Amino acid sequence: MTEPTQRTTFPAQGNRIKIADKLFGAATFFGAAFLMVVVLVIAYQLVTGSWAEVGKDGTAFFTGSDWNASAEKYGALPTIWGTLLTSLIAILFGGLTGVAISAYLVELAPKWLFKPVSFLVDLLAAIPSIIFGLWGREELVPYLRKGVYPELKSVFGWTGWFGTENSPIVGNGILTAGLVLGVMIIPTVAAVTREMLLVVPKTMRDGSLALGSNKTEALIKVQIPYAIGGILGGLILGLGRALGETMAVTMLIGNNPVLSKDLLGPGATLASLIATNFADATNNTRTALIGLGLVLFCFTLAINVLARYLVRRVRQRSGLSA
Amino acid sequence: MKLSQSTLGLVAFLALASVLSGCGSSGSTPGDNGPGGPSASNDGGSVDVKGSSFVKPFLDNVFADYAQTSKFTVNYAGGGSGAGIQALIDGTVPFACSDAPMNDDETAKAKSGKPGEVLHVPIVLGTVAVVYNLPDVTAQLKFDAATLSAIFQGKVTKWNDPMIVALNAGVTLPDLPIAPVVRADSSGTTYVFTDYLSAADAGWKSTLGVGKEVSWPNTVRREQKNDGVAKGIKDTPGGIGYIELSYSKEGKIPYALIKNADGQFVAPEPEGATAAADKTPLPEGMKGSIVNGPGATTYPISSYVFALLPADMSKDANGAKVVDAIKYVVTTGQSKAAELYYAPLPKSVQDKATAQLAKIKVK
Amino acid sequence: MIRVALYGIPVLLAIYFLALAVSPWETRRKLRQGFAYFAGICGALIALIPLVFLLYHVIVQGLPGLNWEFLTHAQMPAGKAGGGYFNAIVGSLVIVGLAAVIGVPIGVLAGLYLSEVGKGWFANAIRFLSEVLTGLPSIIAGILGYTLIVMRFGFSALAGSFALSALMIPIIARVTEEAVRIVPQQLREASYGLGAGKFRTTWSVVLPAARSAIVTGVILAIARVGGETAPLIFTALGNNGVVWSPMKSMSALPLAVYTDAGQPYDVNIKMAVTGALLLVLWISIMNVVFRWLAAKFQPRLA
Repeated sequence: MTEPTQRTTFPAQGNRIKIADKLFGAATFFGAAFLMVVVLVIAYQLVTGSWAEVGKDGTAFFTGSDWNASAEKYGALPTIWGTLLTSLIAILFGGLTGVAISAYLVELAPKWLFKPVSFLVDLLAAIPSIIFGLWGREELVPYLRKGVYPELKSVFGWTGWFGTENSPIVGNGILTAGLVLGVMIIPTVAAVTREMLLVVPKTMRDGSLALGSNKTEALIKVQIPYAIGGILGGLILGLGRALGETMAVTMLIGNNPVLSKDLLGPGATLASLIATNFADATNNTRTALIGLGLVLFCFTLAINVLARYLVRRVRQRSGLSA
Repeated sequence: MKLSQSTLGLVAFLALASVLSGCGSSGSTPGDNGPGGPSASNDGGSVDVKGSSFVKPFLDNVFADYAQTSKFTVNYAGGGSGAGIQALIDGTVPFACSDAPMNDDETAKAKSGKPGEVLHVPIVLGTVAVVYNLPDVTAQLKFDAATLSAIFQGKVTKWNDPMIVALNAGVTLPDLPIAPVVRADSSGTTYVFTDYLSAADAGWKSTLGVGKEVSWPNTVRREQKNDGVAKGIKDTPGGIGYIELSYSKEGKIPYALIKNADGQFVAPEPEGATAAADKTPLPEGMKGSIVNGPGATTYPISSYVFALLPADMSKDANGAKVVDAIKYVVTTGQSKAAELYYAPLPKSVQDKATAQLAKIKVK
Repeated sequence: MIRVALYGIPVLLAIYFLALAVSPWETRRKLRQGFAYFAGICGALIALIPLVFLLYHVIVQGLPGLNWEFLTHAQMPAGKAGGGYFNAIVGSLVIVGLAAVIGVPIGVLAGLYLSEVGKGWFANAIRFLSEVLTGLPSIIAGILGYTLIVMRFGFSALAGSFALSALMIPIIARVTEEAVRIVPQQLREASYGLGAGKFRTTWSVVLPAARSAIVTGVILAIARVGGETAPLIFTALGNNGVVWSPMKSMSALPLAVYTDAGQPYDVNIKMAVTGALLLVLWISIMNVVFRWLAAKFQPRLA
């Protein structure tokens, strides 16, 4: 901010102001530094806390396909695989849904729908993960087990992705976790897409409409291409949320850290394995679990940085600051 | 002005950073406090203890009684056998409880670590029930080790598999996939179950083997603790799993009869564990398992729960009180066992346990 | 029904694209328009149907259990009927309250630094780290609480509060920064013109003008962390007794819901759903009522 150039005050008062300003500056700097220290301490703790295991195993830690804490075999690959699979399902299901809702609400839907539907979608974001897990376990899983998965298996079972010949259909599994994650990230993606479409200059859309295109064409050929970077950013933010989601996944995924492409079968994610095993782990296992935390931290770090860069670029192009 | 402002901030920042990094460096040293930290102490003091969750319902009750008479509180936090042994090795608990005797690696670590030599004292007997969820089957199912081994290896996948049908003549079994549910955490219950399968089935021993956690097949669902496994089975038609008897009783989940070494099918009732303990005496040092033991009424998936105490507790201010508390558990406390679905120690084992306790050096 | 959908959706899509390929230009445009509407409505339904079912489940199953006993009694051991979530309510209040005590001042100060004081690369670095922290998976905040506090002092509510405050700080910092930034520059200049310094200007002019937005942000942050479970599993740990001391293990609403939801007994599942209802109510009240209050007392800007 601009410094005031002249002050017409008495010297004593001026001193008081100076001291107050210095203290104020120091206090705010303290707040900012605290924030920085929190991030640094997290990074430091994750690295030093897991080094005994990650440093010893090296890349084997990341590529090892066996996680068996009792045999002290710590391979992160099954949980990385589970994390990526569930997040990918979530993005395919929830991400596209989120984009579709916002595109529809901003451009196509009747005006009166915008507020109530946006409100309800935002409400979805306020519901805690644990409640999704509880509802998923009590209501969704029995429904999927009885009504949906047997059909899915009989229609697409031949691909190998939806059940193997003799696998039981439990209802808990990678697909269930991915679908619930998908619902959970809808609000994140929808909110960013909404904002990105709203910042597209009105003149561009009007120009397109004036040239004779209908609303859908204006949306698809002009507005979405303009905002595409930001929408991608929103999808990636959603991905980031899905990667780190813990409770709902823990309650729904079946918690077996195995490398399997059976989406109806159990799996585990980085976060869910930490959640189930951290509290009662032996020291070596805890070290390895912190290593999983480090992997998760790096994933979400990279994804957030990328997403925010994309969103910021669209905002800046539209003349909005920051 | 700008300079001094950031100087002030920097001072605050450095102060904070040093505090936090101080926490950081000492925080990364291994150490493991019991839940709750220092617990509310009676006049006689208190200790926090970790270990097997299998035995927690029993110990909670017995230690509560003991605290009323002695004013000394033992806060049994559970957490699992593995965590208990780890805490004992680290010296953060005065003793621990485990369903599995300490293995060679743990014994060596303890010897070179804080507790030194560790004594095993049996405190109670328990059974692991094999439970299942078949809504349309009212008859009690029967299993033997070979069948269970095949099921939990993913080799037998249907409830109407000939192997199961052969054991259960007269029962109409549905054409339903079997959905095994096992423990997600490192567990003494898993240890006892796999110990049994290894003892009774050569195929199991050479593949998955014994452990508090083993490499389960891909299709097996895993849940946390006995509660989670019980819930998983209750929720899933076709489910099968192993839990401590009380969860089967309290949760009203039907359990199976298991074929013992004498060829008899036995229920996981406490009497089965007592019979197992009678027929299989513990070796010197008391480290031993009683799975798949001889005897017509023996339930084969039975186990002792051990208290693991350092042989030398003379440096521990609470040493004498701890030993006295365990003595209470192995004697008076045994009367609590039956109502909580555990089996009391046979008199001969009680005597051996008391003799074992007498060996411990206290101040 | 599901089988019809499984086969039907690919078939319908195929028909749609076939129609697109063979129809004349004008029809093609109309088809596309129709498809866009269809996709939008489907999207809205996919989001709203789970929401409706979830709320329905929580309200219908949870409401019968929401009585005076539930609010005033502590949890019973697993499998036993009766009791309530008083211990969890107390725990949530203590843990979240402490988290707010740590998180709100730090967050607001950091936000003020970013908008009023900081400049250049350092402020940018802070802004970047704040974004990093915003995306932090809550389970990692739990690891932080564990390694920093639990390893030294045992499981405690304070460790949980600390983990939650790490999630709160970046939210509050960002909201504060944005709220303060939109306060008109003329207000500041007027204040400086009257001889006030930066502190006085911020304290008496900028903050009151931004108060409503900041309060809203704080409420949102509190509502968000109030529903977090993952950071508490291995910090606050849970406790069936009513505990007030932040140095001891303590339950919290989401923790109690989590442990009860994992029990094989129906009584516990019912309790968990009622707890979930309480959590939803709490969050809704935070969102609606406090936002309304904040808006009501907002001073009007020219």
